[in-house]
Amino acid sequence: MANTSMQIVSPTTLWAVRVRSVLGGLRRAPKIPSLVLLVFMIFAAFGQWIAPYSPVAVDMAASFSPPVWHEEGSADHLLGTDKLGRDILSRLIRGARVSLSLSLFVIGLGGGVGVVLGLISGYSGGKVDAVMQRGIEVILAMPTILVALVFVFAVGRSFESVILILSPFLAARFARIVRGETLSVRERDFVAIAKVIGTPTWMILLKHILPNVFNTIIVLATLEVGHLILLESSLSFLGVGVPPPQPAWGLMVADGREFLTSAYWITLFPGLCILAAVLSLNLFGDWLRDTLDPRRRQL
Amino acid sequence: MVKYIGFRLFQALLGLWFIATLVFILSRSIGDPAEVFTARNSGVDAREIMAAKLGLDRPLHEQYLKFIGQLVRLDLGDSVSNGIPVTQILVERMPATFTLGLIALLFALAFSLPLGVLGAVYRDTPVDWVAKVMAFLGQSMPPFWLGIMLIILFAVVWGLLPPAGKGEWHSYILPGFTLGWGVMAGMVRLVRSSMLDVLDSDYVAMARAKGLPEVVVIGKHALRNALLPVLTYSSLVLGAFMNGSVVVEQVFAWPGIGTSAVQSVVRRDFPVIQGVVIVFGSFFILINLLVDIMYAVIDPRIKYTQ
Repeated sequence: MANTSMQIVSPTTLWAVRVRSVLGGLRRAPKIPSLVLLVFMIFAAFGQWIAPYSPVAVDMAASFSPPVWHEEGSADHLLGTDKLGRDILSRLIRGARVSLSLSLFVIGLGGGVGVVLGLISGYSGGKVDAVMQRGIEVILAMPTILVALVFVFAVGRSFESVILILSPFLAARFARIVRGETLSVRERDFVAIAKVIGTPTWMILLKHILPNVFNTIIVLATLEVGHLILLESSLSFLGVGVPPPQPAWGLMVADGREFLTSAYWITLFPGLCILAAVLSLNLFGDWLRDTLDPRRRQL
Repeated sequence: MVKYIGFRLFQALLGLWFIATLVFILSRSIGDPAEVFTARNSGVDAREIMAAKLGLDRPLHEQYLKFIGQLVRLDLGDSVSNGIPVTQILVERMPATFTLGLIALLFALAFSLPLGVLGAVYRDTPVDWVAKVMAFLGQSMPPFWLGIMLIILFAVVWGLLPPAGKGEWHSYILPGFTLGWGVMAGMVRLVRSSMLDVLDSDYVAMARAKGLPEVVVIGKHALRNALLPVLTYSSLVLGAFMNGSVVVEQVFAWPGIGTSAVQSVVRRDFPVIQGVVIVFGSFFILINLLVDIMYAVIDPRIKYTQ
């Protein structure tokens, strides 16, 4: 009787079940945020074939042309141009890649390191855990934007330096949350059994604990991408982000500041893009959390 | 208790030391430190004077001890663009940053308390939806862009408020609101969820059973108890303002510490940047320390054993 309702699920099957449930569940995802994210992802991946112009093509004759719905606007530049005559729409489309790829790199690097640290810290406990937690608290207590400001100032503006300085902050956030989850998972019976039969520690972490904290990681990653896009655009706006002429959204907002009264479109649209992307990620992440991980609604 | 506070104090000092060391390593590891500490186009003379002043010919550990020694005496060096001591610049600009943070906190509280309470009391009604939309927007909007849009609307189009700078009382409205909205988002959610918890409790049911009017039940019995987490959050938020003020001050040309940080990046004025990072970092850590200690004092359930 009990045999029919209970089966021993191998860790590999557990992964498969999880992936399948995520894919199946995606059909119930909130429609508009998913669509917006999909569009931005397509822009990021195939931007160079979608954008009508090169994002850096200067055309002084067409500088400050307004969007198409203005009288002086033309269909050549649907969302207008900036002071160098660069096409706003093309820059927005190509800017999606800057924001998304940078955030994904940071999630990959910082999040990856954070997950590993969190697993080790939570599983080993004791002194190792104590030392790692103190280190994490020190990082979390530092003002991100200012530290990034001084770091990028020192090493120079580049895509890589922004990734390098944001990653430790993200790693700390991931490590703290993954550690908390690991603490509870390691007390479960299947971990004890794995230990008894002599499974090596790395195998326990990889095959027994990681699959069980995976949902949390996915939710956290989604919400953090939004947070990172905001941080990256703030750094770009302050002039210490991705260097020009790369079309970063934050940088575009900064470019338009001088012309607020005469050419609002230079500032308005990139900000709307940031808002749309981050809002969608937050809504999507909230939905994901409620679906996958109802215990963590406070996250 | 004393042990816990002592431990947290030690941790805070460790954090300060970490920030100071990071700044030191950065300034020494990238290129010629004499060049890092002098203005961009300064000549060989200026660089040599700076090298002598920083003791760059001495071994690294001596330089480091000297640097830490100066920090302890609150000597952060002089600005390379105008020669004014960095400590003096920071002291002059501190009040503007703090007032802005305070105004932002007032804005956040003024919006999040009613929205959170009404959202919880009238759950899943239009009021609740408005609260949610405000919260989500606040979390997702880039503050620098919000500031610029507010300037366009209120200063350029309607001419109601000054676009930038610190002057009379109404010059605080736009920057305060811009800085406050992001924080308000978290607060609305917090007020709403803790109100929902409290509204389910026995003493609220009791108050209702006694036949007290709903206004008294919510205002006196429920809200009071829901406020505790909000107060804690408010103190934490001061730390978040340090981060936000860098961006918001820049947008509104606010004469605070954040603006001088960004200006000094543009001017390559390393002593000032170094000073701002160390001072902001210290405040950040100090606030976290105070919150933790407050927590421990207010809520005896918190374990002091670490």
